[in-house]
Amino acid sequence: MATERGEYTIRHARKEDIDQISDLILRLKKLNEEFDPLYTVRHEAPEIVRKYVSESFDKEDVIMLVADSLGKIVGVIRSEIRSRIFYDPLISGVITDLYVLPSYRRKGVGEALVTSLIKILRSRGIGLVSAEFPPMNKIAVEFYTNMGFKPLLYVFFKEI
Amino acid sequence: MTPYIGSEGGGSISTDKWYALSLKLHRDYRGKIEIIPKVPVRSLEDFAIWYTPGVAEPSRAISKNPELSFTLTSRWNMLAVVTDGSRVLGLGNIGPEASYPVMEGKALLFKYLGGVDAIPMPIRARDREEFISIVKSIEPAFGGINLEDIESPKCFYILERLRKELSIPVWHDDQQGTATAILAGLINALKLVGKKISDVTIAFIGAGASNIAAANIVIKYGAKPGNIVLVDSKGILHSERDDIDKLMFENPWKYELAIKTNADHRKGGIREAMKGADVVIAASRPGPGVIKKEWVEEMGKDPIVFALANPVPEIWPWEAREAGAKIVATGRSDFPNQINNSLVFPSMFRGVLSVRAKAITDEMIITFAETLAGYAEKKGIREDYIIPAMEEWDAYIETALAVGLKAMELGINRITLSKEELLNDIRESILSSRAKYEALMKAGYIRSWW
Repeated sequence: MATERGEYTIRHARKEDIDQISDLILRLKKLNEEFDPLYTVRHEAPEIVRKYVSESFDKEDVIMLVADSLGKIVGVIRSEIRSRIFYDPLISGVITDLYVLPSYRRKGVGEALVTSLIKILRSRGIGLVSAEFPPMNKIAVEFYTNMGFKPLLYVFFKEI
Repeated sequence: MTPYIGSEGGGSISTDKWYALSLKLHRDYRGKIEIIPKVPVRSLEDFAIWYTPGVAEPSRAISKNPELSFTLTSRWNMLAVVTDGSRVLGLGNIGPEASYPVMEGKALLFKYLGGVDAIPMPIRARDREEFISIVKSIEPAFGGINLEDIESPKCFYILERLRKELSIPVWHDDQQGTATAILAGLINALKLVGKKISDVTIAFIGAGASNIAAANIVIKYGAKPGNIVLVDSKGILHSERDDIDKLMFENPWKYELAIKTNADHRKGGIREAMKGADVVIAASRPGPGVIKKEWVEEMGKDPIVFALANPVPEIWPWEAREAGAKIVATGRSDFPNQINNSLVFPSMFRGVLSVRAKAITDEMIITFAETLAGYAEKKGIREDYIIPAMEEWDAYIETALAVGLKAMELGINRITLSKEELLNDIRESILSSRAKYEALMKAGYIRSWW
């Protein structure tokens, strides 16, 4: 796939990508901080993100793909396999994190990451995919809507 | 015109004198403009033509074809000077009432310099959607909209929406007026140093309304986006700056530039942005000392320095010259090369209103800037003369003509005039408004009380 700033390929994340992936996911968490004080990123977040990314490699129910442009990680998608117990279809792949570096946006990187993830989920017999993100993120709402997703679950919060 | 008198310390004593005099005279004259009819009233019987019953006929005609409102009424030459008072001069968010003197002053300039009938229109609009809705609803009364003194980034959103949604020209002077004057000055400055727009590197210091607009128009004119670096209060803009995602939501216009400019991924502050640059365009905060002499020394060969903050430029012109700047421009009338939007807005609207244009496009802005630069070039450009001064009346007529012709070439005019007809219309509008004004002064109806 060609981009203005060179080729990129979608591939599974590798352990040597941990630093770059952690940077992207930390950026994503900091972006959420803009939306609501309840998304205030904790002081220790950088270490926590690193741990979160490292541990993802050991978990069978986590799929993590990256967009690699000449050795630079320019996008990442992370998903967890979860079971819905009451409903059919029972198993869904939940996108917990999706981030693309600004200068690689609008070139189809995000779409390619989601499409590749869906292909892997299907190959494992999974027929449902979902994404979690703050409702105020209008760009994400538009992105997933354009990819055929629809809202199916509200999660409400209240400080007590 | 200028809210200060030039002197080395920024002229605070003289400025205070202007403030006191201005306040007194605003009170004495009870404002600055009034509306005077332009048709003869020979006897009260003539009201049957200008008002009922006769007036029903033009109304009937317009009801069948609303476009006739541009030929049967004063709409074609009426301009609304609209603000929410959220960023007035350097005074900040002082509200719509307090912005009235500024809008009224603008209306005075529009009439005197461009023969444009401008109505001050500060509106009480809390949010941007409300603002847009109000301006849309007054469209039938006007031939154009001049937005003024609206805070950034709200001003970008409002201009973008209104440009799309109205079928009369919408202009935000703080963005486009200043950007047009910057481009005109830059065209001539580059000629003098023998550089091409497509080759130069440009550092924009400040990323507010005028510099964002200027960066965009300079790119449209042919500068390579990658050769441009913008600096805001947090430093150089680049695509991986920590606050980049925040910008995507809060200021998409700055975000766009952050992504497409700065191909070298420069990081740092003003000094790093200026290093090796051919041109610096500063519209940031009053100096002196915002730009240091050593930083000018570190620029490329024959550097061009536009230091546009008022009342005191980011660097004094003599300091910039001592540091090797080949050409220096400021926002001040008491120094050479004043980058002044008063050279732009009166004749921009004169030209578009005369052909009843539906918009002011970026091509028209570039045409205007090229014509303004061309005017100075014909007279002979020098390091201290890259852009005409306000006294050069012909410049208003030439630029208005060029922009009116361009609108017709683009097919966004409502009426078609030959070049001669357009020139006559422009000249007549500008000269007659001044002649009437002078006649009123001569007859003692407008008197000088100070």
